[in-house]
Amino acid sequence: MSWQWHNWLGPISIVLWFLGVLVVAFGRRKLGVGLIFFGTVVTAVFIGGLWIYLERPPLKTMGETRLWYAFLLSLAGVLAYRRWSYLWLLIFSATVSAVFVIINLARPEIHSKTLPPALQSFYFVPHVVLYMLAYSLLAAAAVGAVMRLSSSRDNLSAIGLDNLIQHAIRAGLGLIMLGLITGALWAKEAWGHYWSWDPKETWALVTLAAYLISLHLAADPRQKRSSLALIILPLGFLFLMITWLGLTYLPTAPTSVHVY
Amino acid sequence: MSSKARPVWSFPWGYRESLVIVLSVAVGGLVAQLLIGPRPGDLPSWPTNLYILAAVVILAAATKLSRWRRFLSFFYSLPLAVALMAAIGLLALVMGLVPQLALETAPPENLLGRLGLFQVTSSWPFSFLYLLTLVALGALVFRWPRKKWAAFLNHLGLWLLLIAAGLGAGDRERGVMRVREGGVEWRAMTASGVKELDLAIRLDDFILEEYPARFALVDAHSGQISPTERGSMALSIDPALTISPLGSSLGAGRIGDYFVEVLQFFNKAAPMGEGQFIRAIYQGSVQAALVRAKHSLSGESFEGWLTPGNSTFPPNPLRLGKSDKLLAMVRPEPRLFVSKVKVYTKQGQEIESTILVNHPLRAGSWLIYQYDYDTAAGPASSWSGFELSRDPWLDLAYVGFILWSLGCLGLILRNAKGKSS
Repeated sequence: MSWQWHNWLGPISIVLWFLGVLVVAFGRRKLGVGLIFFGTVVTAVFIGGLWIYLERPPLKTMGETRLWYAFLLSLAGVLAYRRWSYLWLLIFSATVSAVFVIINLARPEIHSKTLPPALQSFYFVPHVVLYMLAYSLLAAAAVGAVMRLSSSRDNLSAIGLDNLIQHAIRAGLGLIMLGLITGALWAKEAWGHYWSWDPKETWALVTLAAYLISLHLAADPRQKRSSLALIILPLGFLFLMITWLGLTYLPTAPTSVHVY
Repeated sequence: MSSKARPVWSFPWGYRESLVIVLSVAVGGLVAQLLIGPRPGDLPSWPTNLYILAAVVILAAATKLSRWRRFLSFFYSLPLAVALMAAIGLLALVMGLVPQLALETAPPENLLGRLGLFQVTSSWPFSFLYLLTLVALGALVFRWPRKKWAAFLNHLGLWLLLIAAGLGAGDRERGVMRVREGGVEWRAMTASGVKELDLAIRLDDFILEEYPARFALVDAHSGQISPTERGSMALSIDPALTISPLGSSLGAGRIGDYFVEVLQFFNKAAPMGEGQFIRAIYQGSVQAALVRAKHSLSGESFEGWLTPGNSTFPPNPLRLGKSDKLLAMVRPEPRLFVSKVKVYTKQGQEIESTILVNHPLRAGSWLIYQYDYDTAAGPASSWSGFELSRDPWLDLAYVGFILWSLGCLGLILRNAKGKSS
């Protein structure tokens, strides 16, 4: 399945996602979730087809990682909705997934079969997939935090939201730390040392520090009434986006092995 | 920040005290930086770093045993951890925004340069905060929160890793060595100049395999390559098929306004004159493809041999009639580079092996990495570059990584379990 297929399958996924959200909004929850899930399956099938066509994991270019992000975020949206039943979660995951598909449609890249020797590693797939999965969870946590901060009520729904945010942070943080560890082990095999202060690594540390602060503040009973743990979440997500997408535009970028 | 109005500096210390202490440590570092200059480039090595480690461990353990526990409990307190993470996060933010200079480069002679802004990791504030982090993590590890095994593993793993990475830094050695094909080398270029090592490498063969070159349209006037033109596709050829059956093509696709077909492809070829190529396997051979390009509107068709060129032969693009576009093969990307070596150690060990990217060779206490080659010569490179690294603390770092990953798994799984409750 070459990249050309994306011109068809991408829009099909988007239509299914938004149709599903609409159907859920009108009360047909099962059908709507089914439609969204089908859209996610279409994206997954394309990723699989592209993998076979390219004869290498489609994780090399930015466009390819956006594809994974759209897939994992829409999947996380469906799973989280089944657990917490927040419509905004579905709207959010469908919109962001759609944005990433649209970026890929508007900016087709060359998806050549070549894979440079440094990327020919056992760690390549787990490293990137762990991060993409973490990004989608932490995105949900950031949006949840903004919603929680903008509502002052301490009612039942707020408690449910706190619950969701804490779950997303713990799982997301566990995943970015595993992503960091697989990256470090890979770097030891490929470049001789597990940590070289590459700008991508440095920004990953900034991001990690932000999320760790939030987690530790939330664990402190003395900080129950403080909203600092929540305020940090959107900031942490901003750092995450700089690490993933924004790094290329920073003055420190030229020294990075991660610019692609 | 705390809800009750509590006098500052009364035990247990909270966020205010933690912030003040961490800030003082950082400012103390900056003052040291101004007074005595940047931290020496040579970090404490064996056994000095062991004494530092012993001091860290004793201080951390004292939080459990000592009569001063009330004061020392501050080291494993949440507020100190948060303040430390904020400080380290800020330092990392500086490093992420300000391009950092190599240790050998002299920083600018202005105030920011003297404060260590361009070499954060070799500044005093960084080192002080690093040590304080080691004590804080160690103190928490000694407190051993039995029930929360995932959190414990996270902290223990990170602690061991930071010990190996930070205190072990002074014992790490790194060098780069170039070996000619057929030659033997035992000297490496290190940060402190050329050094004779306790091992020697003989390079028997250097092999570079390339992907089939991609095709692109080149503007004859500006030289601009347009492989990213909307709707264009880079053709790639199955390297297993090198000669197509008559009449069929090896690969085809659209590049800009042209439909391009590859009729024949050699990954090792030599020019025969009059734009012809034949298969030829030898040092310095070049990729070549016979292609047919057809303009999608005018139907004009062009056929000819293309080569991306190498250090021996110039590139040979295909002129597309009177248009200002040329069809060219782009310099191929390396698929694999391998060095066949024999390594001799001083202990009399002889290891015959291959070294390639992502697969370093362990010889004695050294790890030998495939580093570089003569990129201008490509497959004809007559030498291979190796990076050598030695880190006596590496095993400890790996133990740290393993424990930390188990802690991460625990964090994710305990969390998932919590969902059902």
